[in-house]
Amino acid sequence: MNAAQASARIAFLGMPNTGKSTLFNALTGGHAQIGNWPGLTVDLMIAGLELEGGSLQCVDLPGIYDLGGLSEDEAVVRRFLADTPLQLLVVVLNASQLDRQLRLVLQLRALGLPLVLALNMIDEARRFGVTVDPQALETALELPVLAISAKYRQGLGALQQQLERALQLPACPVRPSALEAIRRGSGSELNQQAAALLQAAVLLPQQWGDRLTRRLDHWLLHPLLGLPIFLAVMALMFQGIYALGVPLQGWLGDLLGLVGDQLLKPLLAPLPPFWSGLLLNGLFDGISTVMAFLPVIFLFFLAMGIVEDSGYLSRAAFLMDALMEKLGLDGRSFVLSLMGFGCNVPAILGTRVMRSRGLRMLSMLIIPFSLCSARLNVFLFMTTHLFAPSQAALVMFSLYLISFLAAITTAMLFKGSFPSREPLLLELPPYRFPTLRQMLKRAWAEVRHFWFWTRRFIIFGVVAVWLMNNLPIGVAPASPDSLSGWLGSTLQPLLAPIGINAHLTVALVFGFVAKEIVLGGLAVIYAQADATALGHALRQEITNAQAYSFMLFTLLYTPCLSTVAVIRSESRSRRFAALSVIWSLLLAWIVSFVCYQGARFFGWA
Amino acid sequence: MSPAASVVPATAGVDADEARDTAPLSLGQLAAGSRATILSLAADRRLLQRFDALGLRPGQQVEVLRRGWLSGILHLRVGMTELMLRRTGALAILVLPLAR
Repeated sequence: MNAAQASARIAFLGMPNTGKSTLFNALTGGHAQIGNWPGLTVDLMIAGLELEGGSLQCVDLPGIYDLGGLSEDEAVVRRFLADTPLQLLVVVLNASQLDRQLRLVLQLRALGLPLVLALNMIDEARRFGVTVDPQALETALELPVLAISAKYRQGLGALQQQLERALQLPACPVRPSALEAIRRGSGSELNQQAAALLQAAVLLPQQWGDRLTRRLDHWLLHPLLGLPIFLAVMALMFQGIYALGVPLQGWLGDLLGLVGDQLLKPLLAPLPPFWSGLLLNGLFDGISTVMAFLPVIFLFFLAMGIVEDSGYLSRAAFLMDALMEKLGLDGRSFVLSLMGFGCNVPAILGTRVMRSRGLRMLSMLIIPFSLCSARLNVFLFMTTHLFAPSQAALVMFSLYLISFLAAITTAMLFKGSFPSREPLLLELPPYRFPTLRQMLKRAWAEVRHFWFWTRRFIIFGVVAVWLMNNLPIGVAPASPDSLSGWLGSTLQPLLAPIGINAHLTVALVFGFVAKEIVLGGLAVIYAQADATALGHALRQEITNAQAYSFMLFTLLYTPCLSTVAVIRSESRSRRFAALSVIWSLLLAWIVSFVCYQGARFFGWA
Repeated sequence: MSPAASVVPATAGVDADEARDTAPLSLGQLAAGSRATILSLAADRRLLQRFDALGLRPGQQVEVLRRGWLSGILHLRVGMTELMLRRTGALAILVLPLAR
């Protein structure tokens, strides 16, 4: 990502929904890195491109509507242009929406930078009956204009030739006065010029030509059937992800376990038990924890790719808007929260589709309350072993209910602190078939992104918890003499009122790393490897009210270290990550306290 | 930014025949399936810019394709673009309904 190595630098700019990122990936081969640019508050995609005659650094700028606009992304683009000399700016337009996109070109032309115009989705424009004359545009604007389709890789060769020519150009800075003039510029003048251009080069159809979208919208946005269809689609997708993801995760876990047992254990055997434990159960298990998420993240983004690129995500926003508006959110947050019921980590990564920071932060705050599959495992064990079968189903149902209520309460409480400054004015793009190549590329990019940004944090956390359970040297793991045992008894004044004893507190320390290891942790704490025996031991020690309180706390406090890690990396704010952790701990305590003390009051304990 | 509203006057003329028998309404009051010409927009600068960029500007024709339940979010078509707009936003847009 070293800018100095490249001999030239170009940037890609366009409105949202023009397929700009698809073009960027098609040209750069999907080797882009998400990187932070000095002085900017959002991540940009940066990729190197080797061409005949030199190497290019390509930057994908956020989609903007108006170079003089007031949104965060628009300010970011202005800032970038002011600070970064460029050889070339590639302007990406949606060929079927030139009626409103040409004005952005007119604004950009005033920058004095060399421009190339890429009329993307030309295939779709033809399908909708829009006829564009690139030559006429080229003559009128005195710029190279290319008709392309990034998705089907048409016209990319000609564009690449333009990029090769850019290598010969000097880097051109933007004068601050040019940007200032655009910021103050008159919209109506631009619109008039754009209308004249449109007249000269584009023939629009009398009637909107996309019958597929019309027909699908008739059913998918149907006043009565739209919502049930949406929920069915979500349930199906969810089932699909986890029907594939859970076994994949299992196999990966088995494989890593095998590597640990057969390869590393004998290798580390000569070391003192403390050090071999630290390396195997601390460091190696930490790496395994990060890797365990990779299959689910991959599958999640395949599914997310289908929902988003097909155009259905914005339909979901339309359908759920009545409900979500009251919570300060929109329908996309709802889709992501539902996805969170599988796993919170990819759901939080997925909030990147929302460009408003307030909306995104609020969504990140509520997603951790979605009862994910790892927590479900703990609850299934406890309900089956500690409650009568007739109660078990009711307990499970109440946990799901509380999961929803916690999210709604959080949204209501915090919507004032994270207001969305963007008006809900979303485009509803025509339905499209995503290509497999596109989706695989994107899912792979997300997996790499997660691995890159969170592994250190997660590995550090797993090692820290292992140390807590195994220090001072020589103690039985997670026993009362260990650091976590000490923490368990020290926290009793705080946790006894919610029915959580010292043993259970240690289990919560395990649960902070990942809910997948809570049961394993309990097995260590009670020294019972067998599930039935562990259930028996728990029944001996705690009442049903205590068990229920423990489940409530487990449901609501931090889902896992990986979730905290992605909240931190996605919000780019430690304070926000801390707020998320502290608020969920507080809510967990309050809910457990009310339920446990209520149960005691009514004599159910 | 100050919430001071500014009003953009209509620049394009509205066809007199089509406009007969109808009075200006807010876009939020339009029923699904109806079409109208935008007369003016009243909003802060940020929202006005976004309206403009998506094609919602005086003189443009809009069609209300459907409305969502309860809060009545609008599914609109302007030029070659379809969008959804919350009712609160739609109330800021004054339109002249077109005869069907």
